[in-house]
Amino acid sequence: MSSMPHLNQRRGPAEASRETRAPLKIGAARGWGGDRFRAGWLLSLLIVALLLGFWQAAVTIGHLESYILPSPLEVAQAFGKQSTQSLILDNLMVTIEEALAGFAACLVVGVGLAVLMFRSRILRDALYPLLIASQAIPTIAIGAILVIALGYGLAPKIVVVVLYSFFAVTVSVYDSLLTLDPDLPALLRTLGASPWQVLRIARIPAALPGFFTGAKLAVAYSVSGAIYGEWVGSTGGLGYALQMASNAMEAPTVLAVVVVMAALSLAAFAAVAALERLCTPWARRRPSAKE
Amino acid sequence: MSTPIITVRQVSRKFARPRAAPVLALNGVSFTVEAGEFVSLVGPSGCGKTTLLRMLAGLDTPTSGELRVGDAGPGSLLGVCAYMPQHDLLMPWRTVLDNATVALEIAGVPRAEARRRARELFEIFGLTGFEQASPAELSGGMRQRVSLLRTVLTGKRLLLLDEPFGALDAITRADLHAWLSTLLERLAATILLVTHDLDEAAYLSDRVYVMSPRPGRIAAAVPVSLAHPRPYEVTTTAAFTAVKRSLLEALRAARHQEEPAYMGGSA
Repeated sequence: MSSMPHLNQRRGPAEASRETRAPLKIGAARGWGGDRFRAGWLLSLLIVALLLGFWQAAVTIGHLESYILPSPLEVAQAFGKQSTQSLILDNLMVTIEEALAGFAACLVVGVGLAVLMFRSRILRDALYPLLIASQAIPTIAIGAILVIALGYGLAPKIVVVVLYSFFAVTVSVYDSLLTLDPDLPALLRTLGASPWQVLRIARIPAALPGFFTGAKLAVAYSVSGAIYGEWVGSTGGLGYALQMASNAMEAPTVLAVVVVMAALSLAAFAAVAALERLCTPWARRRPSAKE
Repeated sequence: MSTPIITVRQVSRKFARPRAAPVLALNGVSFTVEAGEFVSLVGPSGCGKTTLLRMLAGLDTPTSGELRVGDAGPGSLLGVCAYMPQHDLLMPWRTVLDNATVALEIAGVPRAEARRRARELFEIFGLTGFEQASPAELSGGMRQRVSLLRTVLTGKRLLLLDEPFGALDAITRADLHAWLSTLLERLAATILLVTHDLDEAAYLSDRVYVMSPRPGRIAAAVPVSLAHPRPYEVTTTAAFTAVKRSLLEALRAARHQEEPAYMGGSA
């Protein structure tokens, strides 16, 4: 996977967002109501607080200038500024739109490829190496080509998001299609089931947990993929806002935008995880089979 | 003798294997089952018992020979019998009740009517109170009873049971044998059971066909002339032991007289 083009010297918030993402996954697998989940949440907040405190102390003790590394307080103050607020609000919807469109395209491509590979052994043998090879494409390197070919609009962002995340969907859906005992479709056929009924009664429900595993990975990549697409060339979106703030040397605003990105990723992931719990209640009954 | 409901005539089945010689699973199998009979097929693992049931269920076709079930013949067997496969194949995404009614759902019976018919049988199948449970909450014996209930609810009068109790411990299995025995009269079905458990075959059947090791063929037919219903104590009587002895002897004779054609790859 190609890495996110966060500015190198500003590792703090990126670390923090990774820390907060991990306990959420555990919570999704075990259900939200449990004590263990609440403990995870508290621990996660504690880690973030510790990191922020450490960061604030480093800036204060080291007498660092704001344009080199702004302190958490300065980032918080940036959120209070009218200019930062309008910069975020003006660009947030663009990124959400791109991430959603990319996510939808990624699900279509991912599931489509998985079904094709499942239906035909020849296609599977032909496609699998190509799919793996596609993961070696450095998205950073072809970003410029995509902008030249597809312009500054929605299209190159969708392509980036799909490149980022279709593989997770394809692999998890394909694997879950294979987990279905072939005797079940056979049994249903002896009961007079049509191919459509076999699909509805057996194959789709059996593939749903895998589908959601892939979708959760994909949705997390979708936000960062869309932002990367904007970074390369765009006229709007959080990635664009990031570049504007960066060019203006407004480091606190840059980090404020990064915090919004992290929150957006979390929210998108939480939404898919909530849908998963709603659609596959049985998968939670047997955590051993899932993990 | 009335006309048999199942006729299997000179059925052979050869399986092609990639980069290996084909395996002859069944070699000229012939037998019949009369309407209302409980017939068992016993034989060692890999003798083609399951293949035979799958062919009768319409899921496989013989390389040569002919199978007939009632009026149905080659190409029209799918859906004629109710087939209960070796594994319970209960769907974890459905409740016990919705697993049991799946045949009725496929047949287009309205959901309320399907559930009503299923609920009527829950008590007899010892599943009362578990209608809304998930299959994962059930014991192995209960799962098999749900699987059998699903088979019975197809409404077919001809049941093909493939080692239904094979995966259970001996005590649970004995319980289910006794329970199934009391159920037989009510089911009023023709049953063909595949098993490698001689007690199971002797206790439940009116007739037992003994199969040879692969390539499978019918080595002997052993009638079981014990009156129904059979209390479980019958399994300790001399008459029962005599049936078991003849089954054992037939199995042993089949093994010795037949030199296995292939040694490689057990089923």
